[in-house]
Amino acid sequence: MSAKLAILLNQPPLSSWSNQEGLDLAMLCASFGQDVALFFVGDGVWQLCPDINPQSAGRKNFHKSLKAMEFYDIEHLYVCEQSLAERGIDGQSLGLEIQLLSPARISQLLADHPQVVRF
Amino acid sequence: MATFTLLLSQPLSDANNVINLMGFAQAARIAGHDITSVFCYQAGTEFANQLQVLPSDEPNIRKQLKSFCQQHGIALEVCISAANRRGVISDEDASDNDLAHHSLDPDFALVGLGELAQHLQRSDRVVQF
Repeated sequence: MSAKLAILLNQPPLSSWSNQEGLDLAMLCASFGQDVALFFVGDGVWQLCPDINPQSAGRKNFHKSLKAMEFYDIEHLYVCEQSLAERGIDGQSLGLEIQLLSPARISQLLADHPQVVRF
Repeated sequence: MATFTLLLSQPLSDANNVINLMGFAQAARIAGHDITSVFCYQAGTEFANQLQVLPSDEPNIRKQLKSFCQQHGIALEVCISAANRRGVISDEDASDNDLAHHSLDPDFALVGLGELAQHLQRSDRVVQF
């Protein structure tokens, strides 16, 4: 069964609170027992790069939140392989349990989710 | 008939966004659908800041949203952590944190993000503005 709530993260992680507030909502909905899937597309993929240091940009360490997703039973972390390629990011170097998918597959999966919230 | 949660996440400066929200809410109600609430999150929490003064010849979209929700019996809620981050502070939080002023509009219910999680569980759809 596919998850009911999709959280789509497409904003760059250091220029606003967007990704942090998206991850907060994901963890909260999961702790209420809701099925949640995370989709990383566009500039949202930057937050997966371990080389990015949130604290040096005056931000809370979101890498810890991302690593904690499995403890909230959030098992579906979908990443757009084209967004990674366009930014020169190697998907194998991210050190997270993620699934790399084509843009077509991402839009197919999103269409299966009755609720999508974008951050 | 479906149940909708309306998530307001764009800033106060995007007046057209709120006009779209009100139009959608009205159409949904006329078509017999339910609306759980208008939930303000991210920059949408700016709508709960009552410390705004506009020149008299500018439309006040914040007040328009409030009266629309009152008129249609739609609850207006704002996420406490997202609001506090942006200087939208209740009387109680101001005194707890030794702040001289508070800014929360009492027409908005100050709630935790868990409230949104519960709305989403009860809703068929969420529409983000």
